[in-house]
Amino acid sequence: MNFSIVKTLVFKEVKDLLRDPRIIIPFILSAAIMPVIGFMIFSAMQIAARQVMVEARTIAVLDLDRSATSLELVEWLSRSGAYTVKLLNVSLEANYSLLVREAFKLDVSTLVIIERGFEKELFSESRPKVHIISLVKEFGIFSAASGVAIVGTLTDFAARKLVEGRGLDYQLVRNPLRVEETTYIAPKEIFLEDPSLLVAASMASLLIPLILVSVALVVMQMAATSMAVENEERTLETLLTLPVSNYEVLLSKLFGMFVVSMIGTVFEVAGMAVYFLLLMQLPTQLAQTPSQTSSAFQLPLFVNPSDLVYITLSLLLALFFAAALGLVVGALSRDVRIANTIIGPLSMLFYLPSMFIVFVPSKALGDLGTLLLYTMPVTQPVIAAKDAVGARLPLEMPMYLILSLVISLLTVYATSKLFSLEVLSSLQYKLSTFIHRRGRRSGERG
Amino acid sequence: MLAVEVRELVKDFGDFRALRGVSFNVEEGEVFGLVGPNGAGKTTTFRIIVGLLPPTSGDVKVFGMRPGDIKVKKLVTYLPEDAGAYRNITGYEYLDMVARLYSSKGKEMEETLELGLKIAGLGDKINEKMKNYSKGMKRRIQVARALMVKPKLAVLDEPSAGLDVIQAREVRELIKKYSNELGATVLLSSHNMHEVEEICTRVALLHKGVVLKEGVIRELLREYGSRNLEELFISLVRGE
Repeated sequence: MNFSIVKTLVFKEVKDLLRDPRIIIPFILSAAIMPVIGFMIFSAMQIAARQVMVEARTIAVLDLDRSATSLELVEWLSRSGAYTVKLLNVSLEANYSLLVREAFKLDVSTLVIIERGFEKELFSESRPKVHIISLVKEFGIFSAASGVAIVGTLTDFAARKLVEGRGLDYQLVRNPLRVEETTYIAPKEIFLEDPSLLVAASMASLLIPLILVSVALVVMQMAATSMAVENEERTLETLLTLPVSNYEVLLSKLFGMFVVSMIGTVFEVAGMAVYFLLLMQLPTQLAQTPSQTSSAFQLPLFVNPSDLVYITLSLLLALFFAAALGLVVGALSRDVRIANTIIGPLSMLFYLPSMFIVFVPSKALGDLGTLLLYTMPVTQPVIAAKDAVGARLPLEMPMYLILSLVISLLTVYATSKLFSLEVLSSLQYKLSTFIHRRGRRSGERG
Repeated sequence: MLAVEVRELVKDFGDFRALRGVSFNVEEGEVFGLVGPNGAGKTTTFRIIVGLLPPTSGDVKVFGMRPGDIKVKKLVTYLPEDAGAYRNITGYEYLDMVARLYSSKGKEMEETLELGLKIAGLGDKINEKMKNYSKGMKRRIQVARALMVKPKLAVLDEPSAGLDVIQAREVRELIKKYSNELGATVLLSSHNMHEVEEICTRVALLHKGVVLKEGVIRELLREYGSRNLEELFISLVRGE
């Protein structure tokens, strides 16, 4: 292999790609769109949560018991400042449908029915019945949340009444233990005193693999587009007659794309980072519990530095493989449109195994499954990232990296064997005929 | 020495036989024309000569060697009929890349690039991205690319196809001038008989994958009493 020739072709490739809007725009869009999506989800959930909180404060109460204790409960609810209480006056024989209709007229989100015998049952310690009806005006993410808060308030009232006059400290009864919670992460042999850190780590072990898959898909798309452009603009024929081997042409394209994909990855990861930072702010904003957000920033502590190096190498190999796969797709496509048509279903090759890895516990994969997923360049960084965050990387990781590299190089080599005008023309013809036929059929069906 | 030797060339694409035993020779230093209508098999023949396609049967030698080898690729340049241009790099960057691929020494590379810029003759436009070029400008760049490396053989497939009268004339002039100056063997195809008469000394008349006649233009015209190649071609096709 002549390195100066490869270098010349790589320079050409990088310049051509970086100046092509069809290549660069998806990178910029993916970087820009993630924070926008994150911001939209963040804002929408904030609005929804606020709305629920406001509505949850206005409740209707139907007191069927009309005892001193039930009246005290209504009074207590009103005085607590947490609720605006509207009393519902309907006859005792009214059915639920009528009750609900009346409650809706009062524009409340929750109807509390204090059943008859409330006071008697409370003091005889036989758990009196209180019926809470959540009134859902429309489905929303927090539709089920409106009734939750009132349950706590009613329980609080009943518990206070039960301890009254018994010489007991209500706060003590409520929190009788000094609980010290510690989590032991067996694969990492560490103790966690903050349980929210475990939540953050679990989230990261699910999210990081998905980020890796998204990056690989953008690279595959770029490689396919670049190669398809070569066919569309009729430049490949000339390129193949220059004094360079097919393998050098292919390798130069791969390296060129690799360089550009690194730049694109920086964009992508930056966009993703903003997206997740915004989403991680959400629990804080909604529940006013800042611990989860701060915990997320401690995540690097979770991943061993040597594991991080392995994951980075694995990701680079996966990107190289994705570029090689994209190159094959592009080479077989007469134009960019056909390349994009193929890339869609092909991306399932990345998504489906990744989903499987993310949601199936590593132990359940078995030895063969683990070996397979750690060997394939597509799945390796995903399972490695998940294991590095949630458990530990296997000792055979260096060997898996070598196997992944060998598979990528074999793919490039096999592609270079396909890389003749005759084979490509014939495959391009067959592929475009197949796609057009399918397009026609679905058109006829439609 | 023969620059190109084509013997009994056959090429099948599935059930379709594009070439049916094509044979002709091109002498070193001459400008040889492969003439025929669309679909005669000119492009297929050229693609086999430059090593882009393998023949189904028959034999092709370029300067005594098999086509497609890197050694042969260094001696031969090919201008495809519909050669495109990289949209996002400039004409200068493209010619510079080609110069680097063909020349290993710095000075040789600079001279090659200089010649390329001279042949292209695009002035300041050479520094613009090629997506802004007209069809004629793109063709000039491709002709420059094919001739600047001083090839021993330049294979030019329909060099003026799709160009207007003025652009076509400019490209013809370039080929005549630089093939003369550089002493390169030129093998060109065209369905424009007038163009071939103007540039070439010898021709092979190709029709439906078969060479109808090969020889020096003047001698062929005299032999058949034709006024021009077009007349000669039609009389040969009718006499089939």
